[in-house]
Amino acid sequence: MSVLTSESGAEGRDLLVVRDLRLGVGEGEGSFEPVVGAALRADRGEVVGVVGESGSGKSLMLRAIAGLLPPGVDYRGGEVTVGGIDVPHAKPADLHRLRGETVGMIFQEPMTALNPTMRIGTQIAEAARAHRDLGRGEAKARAIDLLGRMGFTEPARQYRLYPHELSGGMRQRVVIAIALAGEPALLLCDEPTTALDATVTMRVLDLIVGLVSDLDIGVVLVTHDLGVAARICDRIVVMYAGRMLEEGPADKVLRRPRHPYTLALLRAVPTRETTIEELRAIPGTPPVPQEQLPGCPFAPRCEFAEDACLREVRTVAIEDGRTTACRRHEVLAKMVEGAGV
Amino acid sequence: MSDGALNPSAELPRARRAAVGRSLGGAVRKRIGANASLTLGCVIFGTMLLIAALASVIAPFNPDTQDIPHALTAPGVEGHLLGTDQLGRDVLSRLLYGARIDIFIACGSVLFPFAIGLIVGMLAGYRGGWVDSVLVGIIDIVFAFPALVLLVALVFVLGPGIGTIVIAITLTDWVSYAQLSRTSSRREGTQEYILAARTGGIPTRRILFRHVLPNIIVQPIVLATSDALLIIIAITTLGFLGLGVPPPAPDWGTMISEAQPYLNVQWWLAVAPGVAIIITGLGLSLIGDGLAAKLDVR
Repeated sequence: MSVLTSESGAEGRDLLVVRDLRLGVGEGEGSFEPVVGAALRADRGEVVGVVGESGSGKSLMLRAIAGLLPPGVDYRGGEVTVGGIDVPHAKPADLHRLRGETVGMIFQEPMTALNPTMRIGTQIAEAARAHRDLGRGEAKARAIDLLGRMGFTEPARQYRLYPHELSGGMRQRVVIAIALAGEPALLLCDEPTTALDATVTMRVLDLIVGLVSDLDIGVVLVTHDLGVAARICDRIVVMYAGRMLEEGPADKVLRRPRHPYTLALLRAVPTRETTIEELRAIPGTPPVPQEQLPGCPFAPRCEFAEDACLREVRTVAIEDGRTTACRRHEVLAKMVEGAGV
Repeated sequence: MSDGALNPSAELPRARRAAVGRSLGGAVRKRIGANASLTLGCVIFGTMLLIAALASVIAPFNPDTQDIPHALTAPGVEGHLLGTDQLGRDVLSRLLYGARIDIFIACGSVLFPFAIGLIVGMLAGYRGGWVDSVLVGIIDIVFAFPALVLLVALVFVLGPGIGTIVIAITLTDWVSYAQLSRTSSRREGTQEYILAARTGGIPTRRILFRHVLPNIIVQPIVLATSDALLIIIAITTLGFLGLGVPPPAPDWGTMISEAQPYLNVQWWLAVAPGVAIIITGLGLSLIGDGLAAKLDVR
């Protein structure tokens, strides 16, 4: 694949910047904001994991980055910049450049992400032609090349297969090939391995990691699986109730959490050593997005919470280039350092 | 890599594998057993098409040649297998040529509403928003008129003729296709592969025709087969009302209409074209049923 060019990289800015992003649903009475103050940065050559439970606004934020909000959802504030394109205010021509050429996206369910009536090769070639002035033959050659890169052993023959003739893992590789056909600088992955079984998951993750170094692309990986995040992410962003709670290098965040929610998530992950008694569910339920609290969204369920937590929440920078939205992170730090997780 | 599916032959659809290595007769029998109505419908309608195509070869007489002295003869007399009409024209020959005209008009009158309705419905369903509101408004207005009344009024205004019939039917009939494809495009538009195509920056027109269309076209096709039947009935109704194909061209509806005064004596004059309509309709609706079952239309 040819060397990808990007003006943003040359200027030394981040490929992707999301700052204080707010997304709203509806107008007037029933209006609410499922994403409030989301933040994210990603650059070439790194994998940024976004973890959080269902309904935390992860997927919505991802779609906001691609400029593809579902009907009824709109930008309410904040910044989304990808490769120099201001997404919420982009003109149609910029949006076309954004999709496929700057960002590619892969999805949770590889069966539904492929058109069942079209050959897989045609789908890849079509995505390539959407952005490059390629002839039919060139596009086909490019599709075959991509299939080979994705680990298909006979790409020239498998080019002609239909999605239903492939297993889940192979389908997900096709989805990745489509996403990469326009040579994007940033790959957005929305729970790419949730629908796959464990062994296939590992291969797909390895493939993604390989692409990051081979193609020098940036990856944003949305997942609720901390194991997946731990395996391939360089940095991790923890989201809860549409808000960023903690951000930092993956090993630091997962080993020494500086937010009680991250700690609670880690304690809820079963491992070979944990007994059922040690496994701790997080008490309570996440807030419904319609009830926006002024303070920390996690405070009602948090064992470290004090009164001030319910009144105000602020994101602070701490050591190792990390940030946390917990005002009591020092208390937490002492406890974690003392006892281990 | 051993992903399990690298050998796709293991995952070939069962039907395709089953079709390999069996005798033709066996395959045909299997087909008929699997979908009798589709096969029977195709045979009936295929025969009708064949008759229409070969009308000039198999018709014993010229359908327009009048022979007043031999008007209203009984079936079988002087080689007129179905007798002659009030102008002495051979009924069988008119019936065969009528198939040509009526089926030709019916096919044309299905094709245009099908294409127009599909595109309009797809646009409305996929685009949504104000485009959808406007198009749905237009569809509802056309739906609000009784189709047959609108059809008669249109033909009356435009003047009878084959082209007029096709135009009038197109103007009234496209809405059913539009409504059907709007609903399914709407559902299809929320599918992830459409989102994937949009994320890939694929142009909207291409998304519509390459991604949405192939996935919604089955239902309109099934509708078209049953619709063709209704259109043949509409054409014969127009013929019966004197607004059909201008004479002397043979048309089943006109034939029934002209046979009215003789119904209690020479009843076969009306019954013969009536039976032709029923058989054609039967063939078409069998095809429709069979297709719906085969393609698993919900």
